[in-house]
Amino acid sequence: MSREFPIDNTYAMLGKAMDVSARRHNLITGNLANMDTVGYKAKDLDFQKTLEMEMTQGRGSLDRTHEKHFGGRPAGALDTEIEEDAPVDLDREMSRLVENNIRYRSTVEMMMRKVATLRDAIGEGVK
Amino acid sequence: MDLLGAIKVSSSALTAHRTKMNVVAENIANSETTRTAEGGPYRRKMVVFEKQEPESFDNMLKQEMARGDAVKVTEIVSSPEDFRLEYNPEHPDADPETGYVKMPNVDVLSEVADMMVARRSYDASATAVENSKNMIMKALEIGR
Repeated sequence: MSREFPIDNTYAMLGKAMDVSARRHNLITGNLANMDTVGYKAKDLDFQKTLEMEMTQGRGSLDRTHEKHFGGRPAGALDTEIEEDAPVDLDREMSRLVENNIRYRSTVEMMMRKVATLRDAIGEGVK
Repeated sequence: MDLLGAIKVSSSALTAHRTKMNVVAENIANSETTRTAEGGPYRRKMVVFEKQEPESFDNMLKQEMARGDAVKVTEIVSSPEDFRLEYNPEHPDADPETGYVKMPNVDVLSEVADMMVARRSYDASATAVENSKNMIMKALEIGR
């Protein structure tokens, strides 16, 4: 994929940000599901670090030379996942859930505005 | 990593907590039952939750990493606690010598508390489903 205008790095960045948010959402949902499970430890993801890692290492940098290879991420890419040494705290998880939701939605919003700008530019030539 | 997976995780929690609610309701309903099929008074039942492990390696690969953990009810156990003794010589199940009746080991108050906890957890997962749906709908707006 070309990294030049109009498909610049921002799209990749926003896409990855959505990805990381979705992953974090998954972990939070799992925490909420296991709220009453004895011995369960809450899990979370460091958004900033994970995004940085995704941007520098990039997923899919592994070549798939055989159909049975799975599209993995490089080893260690998930090291940003944190297992807290505490059981699930409902209030904390709920606020994380909402915070993460807003983050995801605003990322999508940014993506949409970026697409709109592009569309505007394309439209101008037609008129 | 997909958001639909998050809905599945939440729904496993909804099922688990609904089961707990049912068991609590059963306990409360039988808080005065002195005769059961196994003989003796009713024993309080409790649910045990467990983190659901992916069934096989294959399955785990399919789900990929960084997904939330689903929950399941592994077993429903009977409480080994002693029965409550109530003095009531007229009761048909009373001990003819002492006049005490063995009543179920159900404490209605703690059952009600359990029910509130289950309700809270259920609500939390329902909210999580709502949030997942919300995110999916927002993502679908891209390019509209």
